[in-house]
Amino acid sequence: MNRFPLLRLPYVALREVIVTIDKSDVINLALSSRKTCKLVNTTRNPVSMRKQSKEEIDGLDAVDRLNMARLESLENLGDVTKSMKIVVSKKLSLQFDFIYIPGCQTRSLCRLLSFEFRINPIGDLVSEEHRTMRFGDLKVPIIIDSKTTFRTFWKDIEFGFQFLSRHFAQEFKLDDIILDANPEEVDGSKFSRLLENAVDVVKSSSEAKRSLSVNKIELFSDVDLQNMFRNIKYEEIRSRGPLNRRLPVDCAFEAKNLVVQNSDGFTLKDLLSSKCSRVHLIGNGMTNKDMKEFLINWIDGNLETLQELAVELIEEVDIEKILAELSDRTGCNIIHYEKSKKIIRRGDGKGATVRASNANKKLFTMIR
Amino acid sequence: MSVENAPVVDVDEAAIPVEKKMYYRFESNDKKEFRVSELAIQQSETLNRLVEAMGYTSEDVENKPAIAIENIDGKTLKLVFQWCEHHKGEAIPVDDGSVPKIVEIPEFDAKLMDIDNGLLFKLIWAADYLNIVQLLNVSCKKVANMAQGKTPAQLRRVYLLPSDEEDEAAKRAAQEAQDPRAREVEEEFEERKRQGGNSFF
Repeated sequence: MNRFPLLRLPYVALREVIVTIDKSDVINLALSSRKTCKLVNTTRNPVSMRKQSKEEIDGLDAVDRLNMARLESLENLGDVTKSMKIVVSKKLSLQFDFIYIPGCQTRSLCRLLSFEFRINPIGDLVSEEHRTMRFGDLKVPIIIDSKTTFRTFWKDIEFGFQFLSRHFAQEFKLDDIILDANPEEVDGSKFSRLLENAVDVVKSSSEAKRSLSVNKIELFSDVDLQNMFRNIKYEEIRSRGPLNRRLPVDCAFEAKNLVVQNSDGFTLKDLLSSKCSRVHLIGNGMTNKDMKEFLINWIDGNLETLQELAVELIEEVDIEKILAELSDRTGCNIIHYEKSKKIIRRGDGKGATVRASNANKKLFTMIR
Repeated sequence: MSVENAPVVDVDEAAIPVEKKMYYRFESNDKKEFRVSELAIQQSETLNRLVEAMGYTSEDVENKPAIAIENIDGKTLKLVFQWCEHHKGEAIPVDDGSVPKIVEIPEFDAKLMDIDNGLLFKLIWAADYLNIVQLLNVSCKKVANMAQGKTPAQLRRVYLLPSDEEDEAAKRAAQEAQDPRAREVEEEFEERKRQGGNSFF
């Protein structure tokens, strides 16, 4: 092979070479070593998410996105949040979001790099043109569907799902790992095996913040629920279906954030036993009376971990009704700001703002 | 070497009236001499400034020694001046800031650069040293084209790039070279370890 000593060129010439290399090739060049990666990023043809515009990133094809993600993981400078969502459902997939938020937190300067790997049975690969990609020691047949989607094909999709999720969890040094489970239209025992494998990957990602998204909780077996909650502390739990008291209280309610849609089954009792710092309950069955009871508990020194509550009640929020007689409690002081917003000061000096939303008449919030 | 025996750069004699032609003589570091037209020299910012500063007349060019270019050998300089003569009178390109930079390699340049990579390396080095913008553009583009469709491992081989492990090893070796006593101590320690700690210092 004809070789060329690139790094021995004078810097001006070296920079000229790099700026004339096409984007895909320059990403591969940067992947060849950390030193080369740093060098590439000193030119006007950089590969770092920090130095590319939103339009440039949006224009990348799927392979370039994957390679950019690899580069960010190699550099691992800490200002790009790397998340993987493991989707265990009728369709198996791994969804990746790499988000760069600059120090100034300006929204327009944020960059998002997204791509997805779908896991398919090899039988689906019929008379379609495909290529192979290497992941670790394995060569895997793939079809690239779009700028963001890889379809991978496996003789054993359970093995493929486990292999790829472990491979990427290790390669990308993830900051967030999200388990998104939905048993609808999946054979029960197959779903259980897939879920168990996914839970193992989540458990083994000890450096990452772990979150759980549950769909159709009514379809989960007790064993599956135990599997999801046993020995895992989640940063955030989201449920898209009615809970119907199916989440194990001591596990679920210790998550930092709890977000429940169709949260009708989430009662005052559940709220009072919660140790979460943020609780958002959408479509809840609680009433103004329940909120009053909740505030009495808080004024009496309970619910110390709760920092933020947002509940969509079954009826319109009536702040006056909720706060009536609360000021009679020892040491409690209520400061009236406006009709829908009040500040409650407890005897120990701790305060909270309660308000009824102007946009959603049923939404009650308490922020400490 | 006399001017008559020096490698001659082809010049389009018909294009410029004889009385208006001005040539300069240059000598490479291996004593090869070249006659290059004034118009061709304008492609090189470095040489153009040099001859302007010298203010030579036609007689000076013939009577005084050739201008020495110490850093470039005859084989490379011949390519450089062939390129300059072919492109004489062309405007010096201005970088439009596009990414990736768009550079077309004309047929003449492609033929000129149909050379081994050692000579191509010297040609780029000379283009940079003599500040010949368009020659630098096309020669760098030729090197950039070597990256097309290559994997990171293939690029390491093509461009002779050390891997992270090799970079680390080189860094360690450099540190050890700076502190030979530390290396001696480490070697002595490892030897003692091999001996099972049975001998005393």
